[in-house]
Amino acid sequence: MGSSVPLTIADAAAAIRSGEQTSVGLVAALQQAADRLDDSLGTWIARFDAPAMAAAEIADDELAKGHDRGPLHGIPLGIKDILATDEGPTTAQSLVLDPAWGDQGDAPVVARLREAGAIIMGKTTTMEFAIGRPDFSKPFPIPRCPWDTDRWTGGSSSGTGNGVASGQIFGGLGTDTAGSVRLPATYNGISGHKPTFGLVPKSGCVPLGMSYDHVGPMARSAWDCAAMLNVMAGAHPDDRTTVDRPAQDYLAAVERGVEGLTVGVVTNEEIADGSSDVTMAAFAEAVVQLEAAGATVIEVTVPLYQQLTEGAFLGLEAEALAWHRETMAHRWDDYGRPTRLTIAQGALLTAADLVQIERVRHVARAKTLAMMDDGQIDLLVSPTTGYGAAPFTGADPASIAIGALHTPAWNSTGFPALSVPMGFDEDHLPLGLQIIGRPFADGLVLAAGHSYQERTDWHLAVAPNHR
Amino acid sequence: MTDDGDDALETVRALLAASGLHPPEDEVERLARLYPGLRRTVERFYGVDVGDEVPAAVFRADHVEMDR
Repeated sequence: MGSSVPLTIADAAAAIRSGEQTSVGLVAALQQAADRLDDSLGTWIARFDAPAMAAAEIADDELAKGHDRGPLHGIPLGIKDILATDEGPTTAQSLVLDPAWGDQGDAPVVARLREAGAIIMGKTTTMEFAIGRPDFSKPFPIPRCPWDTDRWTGGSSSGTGNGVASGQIFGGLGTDTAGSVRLPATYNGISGHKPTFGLVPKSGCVPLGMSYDHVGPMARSAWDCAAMLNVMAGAHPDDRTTVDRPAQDYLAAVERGVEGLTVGVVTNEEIADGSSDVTMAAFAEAVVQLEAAGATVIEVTVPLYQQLTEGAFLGLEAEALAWHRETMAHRWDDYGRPTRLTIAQGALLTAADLVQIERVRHVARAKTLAMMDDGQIDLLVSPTTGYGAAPFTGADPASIAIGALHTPAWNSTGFPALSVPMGFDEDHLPLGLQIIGRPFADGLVLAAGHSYQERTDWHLAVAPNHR
Repeated sequence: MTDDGDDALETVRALLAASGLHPPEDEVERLARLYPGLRRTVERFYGVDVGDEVPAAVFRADHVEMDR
């Protein structure tokens, strides 16, 4: 099945408009794929089969009448189950969350996707409250990597990641507090974008670390992520951390390429120390591709990089405890062990500790911007992670250490950061290239990703467990 | 637990209790094992010269609600 079903949002949108496909046909094909794959991959918390098919029929009818809502019109997407939707409950993959929490209806970002014609296929798996690790003791699906089902997808936007990679959806929403869009994007071999903090509203999303949380698009390609970001971005009155800025056309922006841009390769020792030789070789080749596409490449050291990384974890634990404390005090055992032991570490910080972490965060962010200004650097790049997806048991400790994650620093700064596939490791598991930009330079970040994907086809590689 | 470990255990138990958290003993011990490393990490933040920098989480008295 599915040979005529495209891989990307771009191709699916074209197929709908050429008459080769309908939204109803796509939804049916992807629902059949979910029937076959979900048991082994653990992609879904809840599927909205009937509402999705009804929405697809409306989408087809609108297009037939000449009402074209844009590239997401009729495109099936998945929503991480910490974002509220009209159709069904939000669990945050937890026994703890009050079922009434989701009664608020669509989160603004979901409403925007729906208004753009997207078909909401259901709610995808996460780690409990978007933190922690797979917990086999709780009654929720365990998301598995479509490249090797004995391995984890990475978290916490796990189901959206493996849903895209396995062809059950064309794209979807993830959230990213220390890497939770970019990590599963890497491990599943897809693209995932953490927007600039304040660009996309987070209201209607169960918070984790409020000043580190971002809602971002996940899809096969940077172009697809740009198509989603086009409708997701923009201030919203329910999230006062959003910034009111003129709208940008990210689909136009991605066509810019990297000609004339200066790209700083992050050379902090933490990157190489936390990465395998295979990853560093793939990264070096990715940098060569960016240079061949017209970028000027220089080496840079990010100021206070270690503190930006460590501070993200410490800060999010404190912020998470603030949200969970009253519930956790009474329902400790209902939280999964990995979740409660992570969030409880927020109790081990003093108030002064948190203030100092915030002060260092502020200084480090300013120093990084100054470094980019002084060097006239447009973008930074690093591997997204040091290793491919880890097995559930018997993992190399280095591969699951915090030092193997090269994502959290950019949650501390709030800078936009995209992960795109950049090859495979020795076990044929995907690796990721991370592209980072200045605040609100999301278009430039996506342009670099798109330029790279015009020269490579790693993002189109199909996993063994695919529709 | 060593003497230092005993100190960590009591400190962690007290800090958790101050937040109303009373995990089972094996989980308190687990957090106590992490605690010295956590403290070393936090102490490094005090070694950064941040001058008179104000925290990133600045209270914004000038915030104006957007129209709904």
